[in-house]
Amino acid sequence: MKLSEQLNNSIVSYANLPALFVDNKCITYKQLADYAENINTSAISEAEQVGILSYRDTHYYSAVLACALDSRTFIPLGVKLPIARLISIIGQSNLKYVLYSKKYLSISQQLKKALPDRIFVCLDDIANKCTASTKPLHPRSLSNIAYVLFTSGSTGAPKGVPISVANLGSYLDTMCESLPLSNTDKVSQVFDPTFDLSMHDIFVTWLQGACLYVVPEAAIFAPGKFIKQHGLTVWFSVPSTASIMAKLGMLKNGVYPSLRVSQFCGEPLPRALALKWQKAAPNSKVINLYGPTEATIACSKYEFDCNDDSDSSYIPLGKALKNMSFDLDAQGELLISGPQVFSGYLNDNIKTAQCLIKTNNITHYRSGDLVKRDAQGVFHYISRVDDQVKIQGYRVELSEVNTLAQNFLSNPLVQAIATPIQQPQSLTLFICNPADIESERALIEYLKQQLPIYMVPKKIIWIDSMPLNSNGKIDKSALHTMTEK
Amino acid sequence: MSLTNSIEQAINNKLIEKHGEQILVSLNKQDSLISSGLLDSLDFISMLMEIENSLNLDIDFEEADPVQFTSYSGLIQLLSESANA
Repeated sequence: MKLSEQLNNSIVSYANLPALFVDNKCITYKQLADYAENINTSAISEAEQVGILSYRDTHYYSAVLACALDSRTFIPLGVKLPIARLISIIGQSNLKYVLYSKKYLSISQQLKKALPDRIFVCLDDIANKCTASTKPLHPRSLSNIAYVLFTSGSTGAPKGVPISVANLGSYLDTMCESLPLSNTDKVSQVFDPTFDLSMHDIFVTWLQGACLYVVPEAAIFAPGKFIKQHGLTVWFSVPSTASIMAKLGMLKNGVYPSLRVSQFCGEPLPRALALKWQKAAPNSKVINLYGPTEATIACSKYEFDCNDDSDSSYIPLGKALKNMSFDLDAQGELLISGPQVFSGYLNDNIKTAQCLIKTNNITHYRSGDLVKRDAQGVFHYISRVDDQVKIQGYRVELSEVNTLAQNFLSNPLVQAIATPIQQPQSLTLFICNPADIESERALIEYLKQQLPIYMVPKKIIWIDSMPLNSNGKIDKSALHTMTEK
Repeated sequence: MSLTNSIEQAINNKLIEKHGEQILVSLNKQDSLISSGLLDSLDFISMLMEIENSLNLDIDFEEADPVQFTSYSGLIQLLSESANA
């Protein structure tokens, strides 16, 4: 069954049950669907794809539902991204329509000024029925792309990852089967809309009649009280969130008895942290998920067992999800195949050809992750084959930061690294030039206008010469040693 | 120096380190230091760890509301209380 039909079934079956808790309000499936219908008959009715400029409010979730119900591609536009990056995303995806919450009027005005031929539609006006509903004059073709997300690209511009309705449908079928929810479940929504793990939260919840609990922005940083107050039953975040909670004394034994499923994804999950979470949530399964955006949200799973006496410091990636296959190439790089693998980057055949390889008529996605398979067939992460790092779960191509910094500073040798080396939390940028406080300030300001905030280096270190390894390449381990001094 | 003063001093130092002396003049003590963009979550946590170590406090925010404890005055209050508990 198609996603739109499945969602329609949920709306009928669970009409008067809560679908969404946001801004201290509960919204039923019926209310959400009514709003979604108004969005679909608004000025965007002819659009095959829309951008959504909104964040953690009823408008955002209703717009996502509207698109999914009407087979329209949606592209979340991060409200915290710099204008230059939003313009690049809108341009690359050839977006004609943008839905926005009134809260973000000033961003939409800036975008409109730069892109006067695009149509901006205010969601608050639709909600307040200030706009007339329209029927499309021409029948439009249904999009087979569910959403497009933009991740860090190595050349200095974000790259678009389109995920098809079939990719998403396959993932959701697997997850609903392997981790079934009931209509009494209260599911956390912590992830940013531009992070694909938020799609898991939204659709896994709505396909099964549960309620999505949107953690308020101020509480994302330390959500312990929110979990308790609302008796959440399902948790999903990056390990970094759990790690901050541990530091704040929020992971004491037995404090979250309501949780029955806790999932982590986006970065390696330290074993000690998994154990701490398990003790804090004694009735919960603790599950580590793994997968690149290109293979739709997650493609392997490992259920943590606190009696397992393994000495590895991280929880394994686990085994491939149903219908997905993992193989290793000669170097040990993980190759992913199956119905969740995307068909290629937006307008970038070269990158697509580099990462999608065909052997024996099967398309494999080169994950860029070096892994090993143990005797039980469980996969373990070792390292990256390239320059990509994770900052609190967000993918960062170090070369994207290097390229921008180098161009801005008229070409000195530069190298960004993610620090600390275990569980990186921010970037440090080395610049091979005499120290210059003025250009340092100007560079940071420039990078803030180009990059998401987690990609802006927190520290800049000026050095006289760049350490090189025996191959003449920049020696990143030497740079790491310098940051630890 | 009283404990409250020491905590206040430690927070001031962190804010000055990031933004310069003038930040203390324009600071709204009720606003979240994180939401207002003065500190990110990492700065905030590293500041807390420094305070915890230097003043020998045991931080326990289990019941605390992040809207409150990420503000300047809320943080001082909570840390002072947890020291006296």
